[in-house]
Amino acid sequence: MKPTEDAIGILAGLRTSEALAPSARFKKNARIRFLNRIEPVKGVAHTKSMAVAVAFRFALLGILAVVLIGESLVYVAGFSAPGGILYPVKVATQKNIPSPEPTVAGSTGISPEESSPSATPTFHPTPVTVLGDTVPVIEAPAEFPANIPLLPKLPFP
Amino acid sequence: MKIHTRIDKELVSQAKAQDTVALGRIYDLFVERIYRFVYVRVGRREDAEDVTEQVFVKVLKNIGSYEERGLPFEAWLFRIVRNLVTDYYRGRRRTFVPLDEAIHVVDPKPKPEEAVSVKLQYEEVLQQIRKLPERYQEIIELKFIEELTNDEISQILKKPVDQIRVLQSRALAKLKTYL
Repeated sequence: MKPTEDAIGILAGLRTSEALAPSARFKKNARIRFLNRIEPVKGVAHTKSMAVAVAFRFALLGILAVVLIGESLVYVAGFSAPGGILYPVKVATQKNIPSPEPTVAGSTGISPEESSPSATPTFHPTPVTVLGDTVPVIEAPAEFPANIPLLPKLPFP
Repeated sequence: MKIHTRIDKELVSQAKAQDTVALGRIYDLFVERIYRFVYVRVGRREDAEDVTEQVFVKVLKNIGSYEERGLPFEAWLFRIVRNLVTDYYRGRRRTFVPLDEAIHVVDPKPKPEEAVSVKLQYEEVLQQIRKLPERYQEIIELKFIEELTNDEISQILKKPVDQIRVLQSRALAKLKTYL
């Protein structure tokens, strides 16, 4: 029986022994076969471009979400009363709405005197000619009768 | 002299991306060690070459899913080697390689007389190693031929370091009785 050191020394010698080395031909040919098997991995090779695409999609979704939330907020704020949480939003958004210049006459043809609050509106009935006959215009009653039935009476109960 | 093949993370990450240069580098770094490990176990040059090639095919297939997480690349690689050697024995009934055949296989070229003497000594040792139980063979190879640390062997064999130490001493003692 040999000492342990000898056994370990022999085992270590095996490591450098040519007896345990692959042939140069095998190493060369196996290397070629090994490298020929390599195929680009789609999921790994395009990681950068995929990351950009994903980031772009998230950015689009983010923008869409901001727009939708903003629109919803403005819409809901339109119903808010003074003192409400969303009332400042309502004020802010309504300030942005361009209002037309307050014209007295405008395009309605009403004179400034008539448009003033103190003026009493007047009605000037004009006779209308229908098939050669002049039909008088019946003036509307000043007040609508209060007891006028809304629906006609039906012949059955 | 230590023969540890320290492999950096950058090389592994490039290999994971199926980079040809990185994979070629890994092949160059490990082919001899893998072949040696396999050959000691299987005893036939042709079979050792087949299994070695299978190792690299498996590396190529699985390296994308390799995550270090406490398991060094070298240990991960030797796990593959070990599993394939086990598969080899499962698929093929273990046969005893006669000593004269083994000498013929491993020593085809004529050598000086003293070199032949050393070779015979090595072959004798190899034959005795192959007579050991499988768990002892693995330990002998990984510890005394490949010079891996106990931690690395523990990771490859998935056994506690204390158990590795016990196995080493038992394997060596058993081998000494054969020598």
